[in-house]
Amino acid sequence: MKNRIYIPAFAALLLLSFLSSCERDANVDLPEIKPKLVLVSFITPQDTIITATLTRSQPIFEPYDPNANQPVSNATVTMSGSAGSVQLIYNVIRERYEASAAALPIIAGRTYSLTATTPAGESVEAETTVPVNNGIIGFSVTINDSLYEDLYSMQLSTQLTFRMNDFAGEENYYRFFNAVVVRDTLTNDTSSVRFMNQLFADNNQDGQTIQSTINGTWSEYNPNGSRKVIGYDFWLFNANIDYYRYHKSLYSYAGDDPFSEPILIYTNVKNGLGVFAAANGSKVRVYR
Amino acid sequence: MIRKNILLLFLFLSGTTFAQVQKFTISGFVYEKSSHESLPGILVVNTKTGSGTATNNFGFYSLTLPSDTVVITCSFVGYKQETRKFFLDKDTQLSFDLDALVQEEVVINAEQDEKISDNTQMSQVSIPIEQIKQIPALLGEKDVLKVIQLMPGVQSGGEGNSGLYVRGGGADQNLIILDDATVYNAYHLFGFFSLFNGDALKSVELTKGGFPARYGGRLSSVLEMQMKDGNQEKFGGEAGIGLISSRLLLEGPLKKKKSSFLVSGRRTYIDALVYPFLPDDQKAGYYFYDFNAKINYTIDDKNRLYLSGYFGQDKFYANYKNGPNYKEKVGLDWGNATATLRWNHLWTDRVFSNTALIFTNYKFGIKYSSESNSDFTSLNYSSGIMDFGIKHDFDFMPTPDHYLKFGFISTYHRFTPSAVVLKSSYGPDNSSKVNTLEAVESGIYIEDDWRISKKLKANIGFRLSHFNTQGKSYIRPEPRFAARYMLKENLSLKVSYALMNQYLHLLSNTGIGLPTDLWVPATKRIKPQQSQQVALGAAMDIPKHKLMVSLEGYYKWSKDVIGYKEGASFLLVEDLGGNDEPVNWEDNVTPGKAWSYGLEFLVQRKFGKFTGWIGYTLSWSQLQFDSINFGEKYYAKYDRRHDISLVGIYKINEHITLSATFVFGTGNAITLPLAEYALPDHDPSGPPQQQPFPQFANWFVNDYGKKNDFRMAPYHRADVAVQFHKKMKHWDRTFEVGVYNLYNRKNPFFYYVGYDRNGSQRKLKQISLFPLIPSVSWTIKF
Repeated sequence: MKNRIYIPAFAALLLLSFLSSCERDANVDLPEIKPKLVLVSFITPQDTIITATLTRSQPIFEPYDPNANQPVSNATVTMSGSAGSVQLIYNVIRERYEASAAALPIIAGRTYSLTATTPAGESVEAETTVPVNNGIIGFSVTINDSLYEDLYSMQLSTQLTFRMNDFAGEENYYRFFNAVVVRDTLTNDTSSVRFMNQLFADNNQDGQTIQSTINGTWSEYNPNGSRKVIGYDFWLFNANIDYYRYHKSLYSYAGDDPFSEPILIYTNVKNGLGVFAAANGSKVRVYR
Repeated sequence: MIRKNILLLFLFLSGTTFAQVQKFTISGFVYEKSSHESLPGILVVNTKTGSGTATNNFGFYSLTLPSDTVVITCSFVGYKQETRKFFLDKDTQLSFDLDALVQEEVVINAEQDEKISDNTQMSQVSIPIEQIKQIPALLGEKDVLKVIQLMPGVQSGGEGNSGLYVRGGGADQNLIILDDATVYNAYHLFGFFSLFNGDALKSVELTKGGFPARYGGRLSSVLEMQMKDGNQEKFGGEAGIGLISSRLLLEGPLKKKKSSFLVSGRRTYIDALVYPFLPDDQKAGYYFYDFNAKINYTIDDKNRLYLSGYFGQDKFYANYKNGPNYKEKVGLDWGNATATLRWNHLWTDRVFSNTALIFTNYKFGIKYSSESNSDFTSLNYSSGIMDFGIKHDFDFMPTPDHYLKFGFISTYHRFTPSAVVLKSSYGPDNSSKVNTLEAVESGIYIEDDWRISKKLKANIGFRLSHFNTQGKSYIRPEPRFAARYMLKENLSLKVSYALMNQYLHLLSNTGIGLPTDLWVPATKRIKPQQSQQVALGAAMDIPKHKLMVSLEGYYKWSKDVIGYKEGASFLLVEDLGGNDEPVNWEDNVTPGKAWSYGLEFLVQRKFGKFTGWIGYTLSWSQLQFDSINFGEKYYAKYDRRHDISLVGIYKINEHITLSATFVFGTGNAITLPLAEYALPDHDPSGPPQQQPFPQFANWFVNDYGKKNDFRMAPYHRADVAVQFHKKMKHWDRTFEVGVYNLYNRKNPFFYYVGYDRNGSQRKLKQISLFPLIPSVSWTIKF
C-alpha cells in the first residue's frame, strides 16, 4: 500500500484550491426524500438461527432524526418458504429479529421471502433463492504464518492460499471467509474472531481450479496473557447473486476517492434498502 | 445480363467517352492571391452547363468536360469571382489566384456562395477562422474547440471545459486531426483551454455523422484542421498580447511561389509574473506553450512537399527548501508533439495523391525528488501514447459526375500506460517498471461522390478496418452511405448511414480533461467500440440573405462502449510491490451499449456585415452496462435535452466589430446522495454478543437512488466583445475588450454536500468557476 502513487492528487488539489473560493448554496430543487426501511438478512442451510436486522435511513437534506439508523423494534417480520412461514421475534439484547431454523429449515435450491411491516404502515419485502451446491469440492487452504506474542498483545502475520474446484456449467459466486480461533486459558472458552475475507466469481474460470493467495496481519490486546491463538476457521460459501452483488458493492464502497464513480449499494428489497441473500457453504477448522 | 450491366456501369464510370464527343480535362490549383496560400473547398464550375467540382484539401481541382466552349468560374464567398472563357480542345491546366473581397464588396456579391443544399455531405459544420477570432472568449484566449462547442449537436463537458461531446458521444470518441496527425490530448490547463487558437490554422471542419469512408477510428466525430502553408508572396506576421498569454506568428516565402514557411508560438506568463514575489524557499508555477511550424516546397507542377509540426507542453512545478540541506521538487508536465511529412503528386490531370508520414506523441509525467545531506529519493512516473503512421490517399475525378477517393492508412501505436522509476539512497527501494503495449491499426477505403442525376447525388463508400494487438486481430467492414435529393433549387433532402469502429479507449475518471487521461488499446477482453448512425435532414440556402439553414434528425446506437465500473478509479495507476495486486485497467471498465437521438437546427451566415449562427439541439442519450446501475439504462452525464447557442458578429464599420454569444443548456445528469444508512456484511463467525447492531455495522453508506437521476441547474451565459481595428503605418492593429459571463451567472461546476451556517443541517452546495470576467487583448498584423 505504501508505494501507491496517487497520480493527479497534485492536479486535483491545485484545481480545488483554485475553486474553493466560489462556493455557495445550490439553487436547484431537491427531490423530496422520506426515510426508508433497511432490512438485512443472510440465510444459509448451515445456520441454526435465522436473523434479520431492521433500521431506517436518514435523508441527507432533512433535519437529523435521532431514530434514523437505530434498530426498528416494533415491526412484524416474517420469513416464508415452501414449507411454511415463521415470524421472527425481536431480540432486545442483540437488536435483531430471530427465529430458530428448526421452525423454517433453510433448504438448498428453495426460494424464501422476507417481509417487514411497521405499525406506521411501512412495508418492505424481498425474495432470495438458496444455491443448490455446497460442500465445495476440493477446498483446501495452505497456511503460512508467524505469531508474535509479548506481555500485552499477540500479533499474527498470515498468508493463506486457498484452492477450490468451480462448479462447471453455471455462473458461480463465492466468498472465502476466515477467522482466528482464540482460547482463553483461564475460562477454557474458545471464540472465533473475524480476520480475512475474499469475494470472487468464476469469470473466465468455469469448471476450473480457482486459487488465490491473501495476506493479512491481525493483532489483539492481551493484557494478562491469558488468550492464545489456537488455529483458524475457514468458510467457503457458494453465494447467490444477491449475496455477491451486495457484498461486492459494499466492499467497493470502502474506498473514499472523490474522483471515483459513486457506488450504488445493491438492494433487492422492494420499497426499501438492504438485502435478503443466501449462500450455501462449508466450514473447516485447522489448529496450529 | 449481369455481365452486360457491369459493362454498362464501367462505361458509365469511365466517362462515357464512347457514346459522346471527345472530353478533355481542365485541372489546376486555386490560391489566395495575396499569400499564394492554396484554398480548399473552392467551387470551380462550368457555368454553361452547371457541372462543377470543388478543390480538395490541397487546393487541387480537376474537371473533365466535353469539347466545347466553356466558361469556367472559380468562386467562393469572400473572394472575387474569376471567370475564364475558352474553347476546350485539349487537356488544360488552369490555376486561379483569388482576390479577397473587402467588406463592402461582399454585400454586393451575393451569388455563387458555398451551397449547403448542393453538398452530399450532411452533419458537417465548418467555421471560418476569421469568425473564430472574433467570437468572445474566456480571458480573451481564442479557442477553436470552444467555438465548435457552440454548434448544434456539440456540447461542452462543463464550465470552461474544451472537451467535445458530439451527438451523445464521449469526449474520447472524437478524432482530432491536425495536418493528418492525430492529437490525443487537445487541452491545456485541465481542459480550460485547447491547443488550437486559430492563428496557424487555415480550415476547421467538424463532421458529426454521415462520415465519408476516408475517416475512421472514432465513433462520434472527426475534427479536421489544416495548418496554413505560409505566405508565398511576402513576409508577414501577427503578434498578440493577452491577459494570460502572448503569441507570435511569422510567415513568408523562402523562395517566391516555390517555398514558404510559417512558425507560430504562444506562451502563458502568469508564472513569470508571480515568480519574483514568491519566497525563495517556496517557488511554484504553471505555464503552457504551443509551437506550430510548417514549410512547403513546390518541386515542380506535379510534386509538392509539406513538412509540418506541432509541439506544446503544460508544466506545473514546485520547489521547496527547508534550511540549507533539504530540497524537495515536484513537477507535472504533459504535452503533445506531432509531425507530418506530406508529398502531393499529380499522376495525371485527373489523379491526385497525397502521401503522408505521420508521427504523434503524447506524454504525461510526474517527477518528484527530495534531497538532504545524506539521503535522496526520486520518483519518475510517466504515461503516454506514440504513433508512427503512413497514409496514401488518391483523388480521382474521371468525370464531373464522379469524384472518387481511395487509399489506406496504417498506424503503429505504442502505449505506455505507466512507466515508473524509483531511486533512493536506501538501495533496496530502487525499482523501475515500464508497461508498454503495442498495436497496429489500419484502414483501406474507397468512396465515390456520384452525381446520379441533376437532383440526386450520393456518396457511397466502404472502409475495411483492421486492428492487431497482443496477437488478437479485429477486421471489420464499415459501409458508408450518404445521399442528397434536390427538392427544388436551394432546397434538398439528405440522408446518411455510417458504421464506425473505435479501437482505442480513453480512461478518464474526472471527465474534466485532466492530463492523466490515458489511452489504451482494445484488447482480447475489451473489444473495440462500434456505432451505427442514421441521419435524415433538410438543407436550404437562402442566397438573398446569404443564409444556410439545416434541420437534421439522427439516431445513433453503439455497442461495446466502455464505462467505468462503480467504484473504479484510475487515479491509482501503479503499485510498486506491497501486498496488493497491480491495478489492471481492464478490471475497472465494463462494456455496454449507448443510444442517442435528437434533432438539430442551424441557421448560419458566414459572410457579410452581420454574421453568426443560431443553433438548437433537442437530444437524448442513454447508456446501459451490466455492472452499472444494476444493469438498467440511465441517462449519460452529458445528456442534454435542450441546447441553444446564439452567435452574432456585427461589423459596424471598418474600425469596430461587435460580437456576442449566448448559450443555454439543460443541466448535467448526476448521481446525488439522497440518504445515508448503516449496513453489515455477512459474518458467519458471529458478531461479538456485547456489540449489538447497528454499532457493529461496518459500513455507513449513501443511498443514491438511481444513477444520474438528478439534474444540475441549467447552464447559461452570455459573452460580449468589441474589437477596434486601426490601420497603422506598418501594420493593422486590433484592440479587443471582452466580458465573459456578462450577467455574472453562477453556473454550477459541481455539487457537494455541505452544512448550513449553524453546522447542523446538511445542504447541497455548489462550486461555480467563472464569475463575470473582463479581458483585454491587443493584436497586430503585418
